[in-house]
Amino acid sequence: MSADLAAIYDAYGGALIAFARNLTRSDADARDVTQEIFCRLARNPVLLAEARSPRAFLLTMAYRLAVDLHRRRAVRERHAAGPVEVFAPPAHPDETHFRQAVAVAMSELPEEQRAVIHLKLWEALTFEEIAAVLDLSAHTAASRYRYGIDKLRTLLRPVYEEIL
Amino acid sequence: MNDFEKRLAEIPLNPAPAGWREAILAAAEKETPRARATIFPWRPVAWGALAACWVLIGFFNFSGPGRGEIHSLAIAPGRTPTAPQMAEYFERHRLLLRWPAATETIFQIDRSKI
Repeated sequence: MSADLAAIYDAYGGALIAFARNLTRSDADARDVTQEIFCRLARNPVLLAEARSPRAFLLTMAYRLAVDLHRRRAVRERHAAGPVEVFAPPAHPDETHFRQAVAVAMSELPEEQRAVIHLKLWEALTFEEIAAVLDLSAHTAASRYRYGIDKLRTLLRPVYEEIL
Repeated sequence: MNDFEKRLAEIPLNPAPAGWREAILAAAEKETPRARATIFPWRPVAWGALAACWVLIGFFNFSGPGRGEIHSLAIAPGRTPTAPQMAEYFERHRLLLRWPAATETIFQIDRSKI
């Protein structure tokens, strides 16, 4: 096993899988996306060396592969895959309901808004960084984020007010 | 980032299943140039023999008249034959004319001698 690939997996594998899982809403697809990234890195070892930010470069690869996969898959196949556990199971039972509600609300967002929200909230990227990863303008990234957050707030209002 | 966004960001993401690391890295390992080289390993004698075969095939292919050349000779009656071609043609024609006579002598059996 290549030590370099193992080190890259240990550094970024978790983030890539979580991002791919949130985008594809499928464990199998998230694994396919991540595996394809590492196969490409293995075929072309200098690929990552040329990247200015390895994390952003890998997230871009994940996004493009996930979008390609999403387009290839029929809607019926995607729904047949069943729900995916995007968030870790909570230690406190009261939190379970909220996390499930967030997962359901996230799945109702368009893929491009979900990608921006994931990168902003769970990767803590700036809008400029998100724009670079998703190959769009920072203004578009910011507006997609605002639309997405507004929709999430609307969808989660009953649950969120309940736990406050 | 407001309270709602902070609340969302605090939710931890589900970690990757334990077996994925080994499976993904094993699949990637098969794609490394080193691993792919084992499919066609470097064997100087074997590769040299294969190259020699191709050289021989190429030599025999290009040493004789090409198919196009033979074909053009056969289907181009208007083309003026060269002197050696004419000589060869007359020689073949002469031999062909002699052939029935030869066969006649073979098959003409003197039954009186049987």
